[in-house]
Amino acid sequence: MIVKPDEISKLIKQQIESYSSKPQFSDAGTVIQVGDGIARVHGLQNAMSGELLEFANGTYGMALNLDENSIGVIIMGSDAGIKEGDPVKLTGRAVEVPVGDGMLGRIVNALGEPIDDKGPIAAEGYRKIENPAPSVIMRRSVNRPLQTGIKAIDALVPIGKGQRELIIGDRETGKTAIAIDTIINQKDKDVYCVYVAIGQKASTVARIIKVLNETGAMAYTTVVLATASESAPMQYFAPYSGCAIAEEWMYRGKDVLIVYDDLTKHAVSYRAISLLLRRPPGREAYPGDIFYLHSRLLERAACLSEDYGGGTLTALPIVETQEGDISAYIPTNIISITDGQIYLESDLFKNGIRPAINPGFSVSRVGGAAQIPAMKSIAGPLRIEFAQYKELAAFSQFGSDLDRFTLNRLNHGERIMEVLKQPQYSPMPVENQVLILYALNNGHLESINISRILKFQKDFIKYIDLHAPSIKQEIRETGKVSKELEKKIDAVIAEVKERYHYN
Amino acid sequence: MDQLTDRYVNALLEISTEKGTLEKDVGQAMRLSDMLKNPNAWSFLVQQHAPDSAKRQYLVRFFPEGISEHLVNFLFLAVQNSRESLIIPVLSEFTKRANRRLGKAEAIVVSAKELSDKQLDAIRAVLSKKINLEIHITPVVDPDIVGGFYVLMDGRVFDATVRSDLNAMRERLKRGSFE
Repeated sequence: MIVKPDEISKLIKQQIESYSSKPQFSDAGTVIQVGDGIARVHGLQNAMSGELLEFANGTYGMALNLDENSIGVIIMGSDAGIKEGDPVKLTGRAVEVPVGDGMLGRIVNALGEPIDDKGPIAAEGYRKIENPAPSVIMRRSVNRPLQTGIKAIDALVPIGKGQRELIIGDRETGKTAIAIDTIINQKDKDVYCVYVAIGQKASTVARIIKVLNETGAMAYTTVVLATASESAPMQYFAPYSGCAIAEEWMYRGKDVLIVYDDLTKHAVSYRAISLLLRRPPGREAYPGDIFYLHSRLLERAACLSEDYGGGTLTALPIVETQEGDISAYIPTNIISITDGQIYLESDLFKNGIRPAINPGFSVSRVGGAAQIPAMKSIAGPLRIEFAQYKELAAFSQFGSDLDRFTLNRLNHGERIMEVLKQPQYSPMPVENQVLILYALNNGHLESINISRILKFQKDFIKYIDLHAPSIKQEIRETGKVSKELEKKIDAVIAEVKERYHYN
Repeated sequence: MDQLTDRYVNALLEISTEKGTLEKDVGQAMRLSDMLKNPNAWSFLVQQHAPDSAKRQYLVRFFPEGISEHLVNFLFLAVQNSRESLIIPVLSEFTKRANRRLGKAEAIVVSAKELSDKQLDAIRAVLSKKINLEIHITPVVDPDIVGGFYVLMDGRVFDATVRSDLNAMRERLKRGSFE
């Protein structure tokens, strides 16, 4: 639906004609205190928890605390213009956001109101921001891969559609970069994306939106924005609004990816609200229901069974740690809710290993079932070899006299590290990943100098694109690397090495 | 309203009804609570270090002429039980409920500009007819409501302001033809 000017005129005409100034009767209370995005309202004994309330200036609020004498309301938007003694009306509704395909390519605030320059939103409907998660009957196990386009993730910690995979790490370790790369990689894959920015700097988000626009990813993405300058209630609402927008598509049978960037700040904003509402503080001053805050949000990610449309909602929550401490309160909570985590280390990042994924601490509990067979057969040994290399590398620092077997292992490990490096904003299709990891696994890279491995990867893929596109097509279609195909790939690698003087 | 206030109010109401002094007590309760709302008086009453006897003496100075004995006793009891903070809530709730029993109700009428007595009478007549009680109106002027007026009465709002019409229209336009 697009709002046309003549429709507006028609609506106004109707309202002028039927304007009888019929007074409305409703339950009302009075504001007794307002500030910090919170209001205390006297009266309203029939208010429901979570109900939408209307302030006199047209601002809405949500009833959170129902006390004996008053109710605690969080104000959605600015509290300017609300004063003591103002009437507050019950609406009988819950908080809703517009949903539907009209949201694609749009930047909205936590209430679903557009904040870009593309005019009003053509909403297909409205959806409550708090919804129950799909029940066990509606779900099935994760069975299709969601390709992130990042070699280290797709090979070592694969993500399936409908999975909840946590991205965790210190500040400036590339957490957001992984999420954005994943969104960019969904181009032409019929996956809708929602990026929820909670408590971030507006400049950071502007940069992200610019990247999404430049890569064409904005066409299938909605950005839900509650920057650091917005009130705590807006930051608290943002992930639920984003989830409602994504959920609508999931229930229509679509595959959807949602990124919550980041839930640490969400927890902090909820702590602020809870303390202002005088709820008792617990550990680190977080309220008692801080676990439920995130569990009910992440439980809404699901892989629906065919009977319910077969849609999926994959969630990539992001959590920031302090000094790599993943055993802090919020990180442990979210680790226990999610189906695995991608752990980023600042030491790796500083050593130039980017993405700075630590494969030792990173796991994916369900994604393995969703990997394509070709990737699965290659990635299996990779993880073990990588772990062995890490152990040997630490040990071999003390001795220079190493036997050949150990040297080979170290050599191979260094090549694994080199191959898993990948620049930002350049996700790689899964068939390219399979080809490169195949070359790595079968020892084709052992004879190449470490410094030339990056170039070899480019030459290899370019050569296949030009001279043997059938190889990629076969991997794409069958998802496997057959014996005959192996021979073909071996031949191509030999040819590339010969032509570009890698031997 | 919390249970404790409720208990005190019920007790006061019963005594007043039994003695048949409800109407007189309402007037006294209103005057008393107006006087006690004085910040100096209030801060003295609620402080914990002052002895009860001092508070009682202080209260005596406030009593209007011919105050009912049971109201005096209520104040002294509140001091004795360290429930000084409940005095004003109990008195205002008592006034409200006693008025209701006497067939009267309080209403606040908020309008954009000052209403004439004729207009207030008209509003009073309509409201009285609607809820079958004699209405006592407190007029308030608030230019923020743009036009029209609203009535706050007994936890309900009777809203006929241009501001809420404009808000409703904005909301409907924002949602387009969806509804």
